[in-house]
Amino acid sequence: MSALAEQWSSQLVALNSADEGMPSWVGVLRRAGGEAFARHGLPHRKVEDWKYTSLKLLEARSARLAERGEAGSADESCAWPEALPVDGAPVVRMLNGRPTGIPDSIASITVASLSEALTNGKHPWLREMLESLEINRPSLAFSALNTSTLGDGLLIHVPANTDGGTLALQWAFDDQAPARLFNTRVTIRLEAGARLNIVEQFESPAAHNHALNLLTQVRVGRGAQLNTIRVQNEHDECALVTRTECDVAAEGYFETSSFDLGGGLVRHDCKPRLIGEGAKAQVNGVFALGGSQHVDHHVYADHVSADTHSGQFFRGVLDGRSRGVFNGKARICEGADGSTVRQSNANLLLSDHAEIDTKPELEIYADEVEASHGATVGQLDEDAVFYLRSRGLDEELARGLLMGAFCKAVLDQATNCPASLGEAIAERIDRALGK
Amino acid sequence: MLKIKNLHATVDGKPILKGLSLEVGRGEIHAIMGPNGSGKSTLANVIAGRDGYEVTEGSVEMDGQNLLELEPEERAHAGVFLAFQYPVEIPGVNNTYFLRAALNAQRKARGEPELDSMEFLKLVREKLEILHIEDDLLHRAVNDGFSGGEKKRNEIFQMAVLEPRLAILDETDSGLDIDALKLVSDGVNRLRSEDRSMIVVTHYQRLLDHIVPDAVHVLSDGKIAASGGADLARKLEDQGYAWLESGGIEAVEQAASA
Repeated sequence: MSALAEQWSSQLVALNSADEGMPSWVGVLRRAGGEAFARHGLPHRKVEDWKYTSLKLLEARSARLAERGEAGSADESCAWPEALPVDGAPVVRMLNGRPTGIPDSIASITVASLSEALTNGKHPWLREMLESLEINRPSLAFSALNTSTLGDGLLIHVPANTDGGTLALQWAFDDQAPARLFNTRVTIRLEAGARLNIVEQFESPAAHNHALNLLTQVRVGRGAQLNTIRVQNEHDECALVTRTECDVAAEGYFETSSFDLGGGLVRHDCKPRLIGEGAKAQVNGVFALGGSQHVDHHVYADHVSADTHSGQFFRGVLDGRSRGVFNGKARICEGADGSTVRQSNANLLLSDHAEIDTKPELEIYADEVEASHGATVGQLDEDAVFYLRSRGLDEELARGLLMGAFCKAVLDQATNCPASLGEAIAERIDRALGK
Repeated sequence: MLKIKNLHATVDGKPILKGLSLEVGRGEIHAIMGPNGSGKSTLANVIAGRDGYEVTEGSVEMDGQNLLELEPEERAHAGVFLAFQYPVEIPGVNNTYFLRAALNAQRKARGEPELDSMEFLKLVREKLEILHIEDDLLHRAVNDGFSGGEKKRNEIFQMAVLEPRLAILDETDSGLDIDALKLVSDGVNRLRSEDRSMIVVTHYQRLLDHIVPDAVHVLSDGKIAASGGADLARKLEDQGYAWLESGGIEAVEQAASA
């Protein structure tokens, strides 16, 4: 086990000895998480799912596990960056992984601090959801760690046949030393026929070297629809590990589009499980990287039922010494006939030192399925550059326009993104490409 | 207006233009014809400044300005426009946005004020009216999924908006059916002006039924093999290019004067 994992393991023992008035099952879960983490340690590069992503950045700074009590400093102490335009939708600020408050304007849906929800027992489904999480595998060490510190985070619930509108989550960190790892959990449940859009922004006001381990568990009920957009523009020293697991019931729809324009070490795992007939999931992403940035996307779409559909649409632009990883897997289980899978990952390499590892994978155990996948790595189309220049655009503008268009193709895949938000994201993409 | 002297150019080290000289006066339309491989498209691309075409000798001047030392965008700012044989598809870049960015880049370079979106839309409407075309292409991405006819129509539309002083039409007729050919050439004719010279590069004479040139030049093996009036094109159409090889320049001239 690495020194960092040992340090965290021993910290966990102390952390979990305190009784915070949580129900006993939370303590059982935390202990199970701690044991699983102690068993496997941090994933190293011999673990297949972590082959391309080294945790050296984390190890080097020997970040300490944040204690639950210290996670939320006062809202006022943080100068929040400009929020993405969400047209008056309620914004929940998540400082160091913890909500700083829940706005009063949220009416039709329930949004609560997870620690409160754990103690008040108002949400009977919560325990089942938390207990169902798989943690006991070497590749799932961050899930184990997250469970071992269970407490901070958010609960979101949309009642049946309710349009919850849009909810914005603004994630940021303070710039105080020492470096810490914040574990946080977001649980989202949409009942049958419910709808919700979530816009998440990861952007801190000042440079910091903290890390976030964010685990999101989602249930999309029958015929319900969840659209999420994630715009990540963190500082170069920030480490971000996120994992989203989403069960989609019959005729339900889950969509997530992430725009990674910053960060130092970023890892996203997304695992939609299409458990009801006709369920759909669409996972999209852009990474526009430079310097020594590293973004790793692992997508795992699991088709359990018949007539399910999943799509993955990723675009990467890599400059400098940056590295991008796209590992897109789809499994179609036996009996999931009539299912379709579309995977697309295209990348532009702008520098000899940048690297992209792209791997679309299909596992098919059903008979009648339709699957397509494609991965490309290339440079900008020089014919297109000349075409634009021949009309009067200078070379820099021409290249910027083409790279921007290449990335913005992902915006077209985001089905519920209002024009003003799309423009703001497009602008951020252009800024990231221009840097 | 345009003076090309003893132009030699290579592509991948292979000589394609071998001493081409040509003068185009202000407001004139010159047609460049010739068999495949004679260097027609190379000439168009050399004037526009495409990478991969190396000029080894000779000069290209427009109103006394040496074009060969300018970047492609600087040539555009100076008033050069190339209508591409194969217009490039650019998914994700809106046609209107692109054209306004291009026009404003040119205006800025010339020290003219940039147009805001209202002024630009007004200009676009005027041009659509002059060309008698619909605005259906404007809202789509540049050439993305366009038919061959739509692509060529878009080239002519760009030319109308950018108002070049020298337009080079590189095989604008290729891949067009009769109706599309007529639509595109009507557009070109409406853009004829005493301030605008044009070089029309074509393999076939049929385009020149619609766009009647002031002069026709036959390109063979990287040089102008013969020059004449609009009649020369028709004679070439009757007799083909084969006699260029069998009879050389004299045969062409005889044919032209017969």
